[in-house]
Amino acid sequence: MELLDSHAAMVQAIADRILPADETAGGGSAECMIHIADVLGNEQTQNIDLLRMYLDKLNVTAKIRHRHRFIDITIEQQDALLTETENHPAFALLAELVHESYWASEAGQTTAGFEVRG
Amino acid sequence: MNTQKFDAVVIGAGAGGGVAAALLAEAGHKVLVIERGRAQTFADTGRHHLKNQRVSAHGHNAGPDERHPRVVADADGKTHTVLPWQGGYQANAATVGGGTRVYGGQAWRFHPLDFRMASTYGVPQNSSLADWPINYDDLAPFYERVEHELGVAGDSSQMTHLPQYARDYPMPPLPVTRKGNALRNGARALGWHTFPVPLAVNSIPFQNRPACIHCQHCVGFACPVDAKNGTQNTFLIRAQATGNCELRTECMVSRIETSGGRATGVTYFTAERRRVLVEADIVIIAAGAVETARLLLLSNIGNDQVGRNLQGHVYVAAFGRMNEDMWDSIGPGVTTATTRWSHGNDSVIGGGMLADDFITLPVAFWRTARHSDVPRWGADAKNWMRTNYRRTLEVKGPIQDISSPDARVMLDANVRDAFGIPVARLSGATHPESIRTAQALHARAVEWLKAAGAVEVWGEAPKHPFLSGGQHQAGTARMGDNPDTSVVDRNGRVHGMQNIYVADTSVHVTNGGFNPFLTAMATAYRTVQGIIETA
Ligand SMILES: Cc1cc2nc3c(=O)[nH]c(=O)nc-3n(C[C@H](O)[C@H](O)[C@H](O)COP(=O)(O)OP(=O)(O)OC[C@H]3O[C@@H](n4cnc5c(N)ncnc54)[C@H](O)[C@@H]3O)c2cc1C
Repeated sequence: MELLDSHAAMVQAIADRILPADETAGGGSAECMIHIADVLGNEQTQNIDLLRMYLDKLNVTAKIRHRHRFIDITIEQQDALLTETENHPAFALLAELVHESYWASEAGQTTAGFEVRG
Repeated sequence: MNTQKFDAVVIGAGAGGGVAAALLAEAGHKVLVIERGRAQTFADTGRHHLKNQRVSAHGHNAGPDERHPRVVADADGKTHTVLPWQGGYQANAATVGGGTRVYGGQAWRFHPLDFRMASTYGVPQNSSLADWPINYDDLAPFYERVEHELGVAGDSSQMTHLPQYARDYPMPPLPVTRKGNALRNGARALGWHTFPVPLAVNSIPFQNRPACIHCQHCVGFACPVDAKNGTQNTFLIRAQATGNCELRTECMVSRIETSGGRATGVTYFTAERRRVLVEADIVIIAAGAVETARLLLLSNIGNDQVGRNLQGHVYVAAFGRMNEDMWDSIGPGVTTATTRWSHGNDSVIGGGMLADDFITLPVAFWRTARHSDVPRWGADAKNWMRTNYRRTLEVKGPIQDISSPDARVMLDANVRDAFGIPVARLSGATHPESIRTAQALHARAVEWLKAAGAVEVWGEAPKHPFLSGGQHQAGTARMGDNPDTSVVDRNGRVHGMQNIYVADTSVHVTNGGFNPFLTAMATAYRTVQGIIETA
């Protein structure tokens, strides 16, 4: 089961807020998105509906409050909405997936300072 | 070799099975080793940070695979079917070499008192704590043989908690890391003795294989230069070099065939699920503590003790942030231990060895080393990893498990594996005294980190009993002189059976306050040497 493109774009935007880009890439990097899509599509299919509902609700709130889709509002506005919903199980699921994919990725290893020699 | 009749069949090509195969084949016996996993190269074991034997969020890199589920029963009796990388499974590995293919290789001899837990501390209520029927002195010559034949790096002169070694380790210790040095300084300030952790890793070229290149992916992975010593590159190679040993991989033993108190052979399934029967004069079970118990139960061998006393280790872990960068990239990473608190702790039973740790992957650090105040997301979460990952010291240690007869492997009545064989059903928990001991040792870990200069220390002591088998699983076919309270005798032979032996961690009566593989191999060595001498 796959996410719609619009949902995937939202997941990427949220991933970039969970671990924002600075001198290293953020959680929405291509490497992380491949892993997240793979897990959601294959291992976490039972949670896809929960995630979709969460994303739709977030989008509706963004439109009501800011008259734009979630992906088009400012990062400050995104952070505020995410802070309000950070105890939602779908957010917890996303945060877990973003962290694991990021710290396992090359960008995450660089950020942490894990140097591979040999 | 095409025959279906062997002098000995060894079930499992892991730590104990590898030793058994080499000794029997070198003594001229025709041996068949049957292993459910496959032989794995470095390349196909890989370095995936989320699919390995240490971080198995999405699978393993050394088996078992999804054909081998188990059932886990909660405290309230509710059961769950779990895959090998899911919670509660108690996985080790399933490949040629067993756990030793991807282990960290901490090669510990148990403390002499580890063999005498019941007589030293008494038996707490509802515990099955018991002494081993053999003692440290019985095992010492076999520890020594394994250290030299497998290849262990260390410094015996510093193992002052043990009687003097007859022969030093065959290789000097691996280099100390910056983290190890900080902990050594801290211990010195406390007046605690520390010493290098003995490792089954080549510190110098050994047995025609090179020295360790100090990479950052040791524990949970295969070695890129084959400098880590498991049975797959030592004992099993020796066994096959004799021409007397055949290794059949991807074959799942389903039953030991018996007649009148004797094994007559074993039945196994090939990967294509073809059933094969082989005959054998001797059967040696070395399938790891959960699967060995399962096989005995499937074969109606042994008494009511089979599968009981499942134990592993309750671990303590504490973390301390230093003000400076402690990372030096030198693997394997574990270099410095103390046995100051292995025994003699006030008002608790036993204790455990404390040491630094293998290099922790960033993803494992995020999952297991952060405290509850760390921001879950945002720039602060990222910065927490940036400032803490390289500066954090870890002190960890396996605490003596106080055995419980209710921590148990049984057969599940409903769930079967891909071969149609009833799976293991796991239930129960370690005795609450194990948790009290862990709490006492946790306080020592915190003390050590502070003395080493940590400016912030965190990590919680275990609070509640849980089933602690895991990669250190042991105890399910324990050794003893009394057939009513043990499964095998002091020679590793199943009580009441003439030719069935157990040669893996299952026979451990207690699992020591140390990582267990060296004791499993030394015990297997002693058992198999006994078989050869009496054959
Ligand atoms: C990542 C990791 C790190 C570790 N680090 C350390 C360490 O530093 N120090 C330490 O002391 N220990 C360590 N261990 C634990 C150590 O590997 C085990 O204690 C040891 O391998 C146990 O030996 P064993 O002979 O009991 O079983 P195993 O080595 O598990 O061997 C059992 C074998 O039997 C096979 N088998 C099971 N059932 C069947 C069947 N029905 N038919 C055919 N084959 C079967 C299995 O596939 C397996 O290969 C580690 C383990 C892992 C996975």
